[in-house]
Amino acid sequence: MGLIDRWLRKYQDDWCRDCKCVMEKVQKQLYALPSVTVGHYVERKDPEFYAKNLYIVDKKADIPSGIYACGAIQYRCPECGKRLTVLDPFLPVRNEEKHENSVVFRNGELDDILWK
Amino acid sequence: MNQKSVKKTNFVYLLLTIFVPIVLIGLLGYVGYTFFRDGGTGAVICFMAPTLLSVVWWIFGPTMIWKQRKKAMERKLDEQGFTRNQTFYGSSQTVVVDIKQGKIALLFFWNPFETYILPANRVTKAWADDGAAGSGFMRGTSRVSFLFVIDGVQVRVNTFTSNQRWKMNDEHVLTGISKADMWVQVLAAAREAAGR
Repeated sequence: MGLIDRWLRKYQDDWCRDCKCVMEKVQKQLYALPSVTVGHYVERKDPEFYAKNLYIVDKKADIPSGIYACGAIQYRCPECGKRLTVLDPFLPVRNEEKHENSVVFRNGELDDILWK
Repeated sequence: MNQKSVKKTNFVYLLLTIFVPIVLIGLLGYVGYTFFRDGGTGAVICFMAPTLLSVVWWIFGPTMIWKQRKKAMERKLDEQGFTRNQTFYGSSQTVVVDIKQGKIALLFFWNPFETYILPANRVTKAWADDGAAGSGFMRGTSRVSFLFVIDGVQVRVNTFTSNQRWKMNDEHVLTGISKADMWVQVLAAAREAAGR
């Protein structure tokens, strides 16, 4: 693996930094973030906030206009078994999505809430 | 609750805003011409001061009044027990909705001394306009807005404006569309609460 490739991989969410391999998707779920509306998004890295404000939805169409959605994906490293959760907050707008920076939880902070 | 029908522009205010400084310039110009024909400080004051003040007034005056009236409107709404569930500060109008009580409050830039607090069922129609134009790679928009008709008066509130055309999937455009769509839903909910 070249240097540039290694550098790029370091910043990918689905890359195990210890084993240097791609992690596999274990499960994913779509949530609504009704407390965050269009024009009022602030990046939050506090797991408490997500624990209190995420509500499971089946599909994007269930989320009213102007309300943020949040995709949650749990990854697992096939070699060391380490798990991490990536939250991808986005604003669904008709057929488009406006994505914000993803938030990564590497120490299972949300596992009990999201994947119970 | 305001029983008057909605008026977006108070023409007396609009004309006074434009023409009072012009009249002042003319009046003091006449004074300067009559009494200070030989020049001097008096002439400078009479000719320059009103012109400068007028330009300052035209640039800042209506905006200052608008800002003060918006604050006064919020105070008035709070005093009347109006819950400000949603507020949109547009460039030429402010729209506030109390969803639970089914009320809508409006204030217009060119009619800033009249705050309209109306039952939301006086809104007969509300829709979003993404302003999409062009085709292919040129498809885009320079204005996104939500519109509603109240008392037969159409009010357009811009949620995104630009002097250029932006792609429909640009993040600023998406934000504008989302706000417009959300406001259409807010108005529908308020109408529902007021009883169609």
